[in-house]
Amino acid sequence: MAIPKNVQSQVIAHPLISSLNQEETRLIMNQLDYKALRAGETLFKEGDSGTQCFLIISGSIVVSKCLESGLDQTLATLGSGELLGQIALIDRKPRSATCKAGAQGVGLVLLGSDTFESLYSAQNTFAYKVLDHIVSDLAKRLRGANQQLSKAKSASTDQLRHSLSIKAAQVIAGHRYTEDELNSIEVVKTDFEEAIKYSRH
Amino acid sequence: MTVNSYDFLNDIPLFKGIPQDQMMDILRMLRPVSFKAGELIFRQGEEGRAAFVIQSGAVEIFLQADREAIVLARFQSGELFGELALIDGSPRSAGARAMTNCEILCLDKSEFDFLRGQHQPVAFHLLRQFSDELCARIRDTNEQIDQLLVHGKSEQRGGPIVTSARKDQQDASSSNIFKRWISKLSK
Repeated sequence: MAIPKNVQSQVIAHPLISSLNQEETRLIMNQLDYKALRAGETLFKEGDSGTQCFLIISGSIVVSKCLESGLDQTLATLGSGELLGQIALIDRKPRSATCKAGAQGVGLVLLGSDTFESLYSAQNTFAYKVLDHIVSDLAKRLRGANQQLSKAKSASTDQLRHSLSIKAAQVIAGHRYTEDELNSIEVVKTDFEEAIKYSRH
Repeated sequence: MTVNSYDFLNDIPLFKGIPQDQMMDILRMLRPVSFKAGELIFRQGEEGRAAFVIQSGAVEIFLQADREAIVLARFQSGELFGELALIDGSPRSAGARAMTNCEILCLDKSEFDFLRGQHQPVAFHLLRQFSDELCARIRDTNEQIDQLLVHGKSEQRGGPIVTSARKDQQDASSSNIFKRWISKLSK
């Protein structure tokens, strides 16, 4: 649906929109759609096709992945001002993780790949900002994830290897670790460890 | 830059489809440098100030581990390397060395940042190419993570290797833990 009047000011405050001029903002607001989900509702599942990306306007999104155990591992919680689903927007391949609305629900602005392509062809400022943001953000995630992945590959125990792999997956999903946290070989709380603890009781 | 360089750039995937007038911007940006066989192009950990396109010769990307160097990748004529630094300027995650005498074109971060800041069409085009490349690498990294999570093993070089017997045992024990856990939860 079109962006409702009562959330327009929130949409305009999103970092990817706020720096556009009035004319650019007006043009964009007419082309974007809005979607609201209640707490726990699914936006998309791992493996789904879909080429839209989403600007989080209010509330939050929980990113998770199904592990080999069949249990969901939460990877990241993304809040308002963030962008989500950008990899499928660019490469049009299936979603790599599951996204659900957080405890307060979520309000999202949808940017479909067709809209993005037409804005890109017109060298629209918004498309430029989205693209610039995607590139910087993915570069950062890739570096962080590869750092954890190379540590995981040479880890001395299965538990450490598992934990560092989860950390790599969290970084890719958009979880923000500080530089120190990335550098430390600290064990991440995972379902795997929970299971081990539980089995010892 | 010569006409030859223009033809050469047209064949490089990163610059494919760039209109002629924008290609002139790229030609202006590129700075030719020569390296002798064995010479270091950049060091692991140093600030990344440029991306590189190989005009002739071959380059290897390596990690220095204790005494030996682990070669991560090799690049040859027409290929691009070191491009992550152009995007975020972070320290180099590995080193690069000329394997043969090389002619290399440097794309300086300061030049790129200027065009990027001005939203120039050529920066737009390069960002698009970078986004494709990054998505492909993220997908590849995701696959490697999935493999580690599912199999708990890696095709590592130099790191400790888990023997298959030990690994099978561990796979069995962790899957038993999960079975027990799930049965407890479902009670």
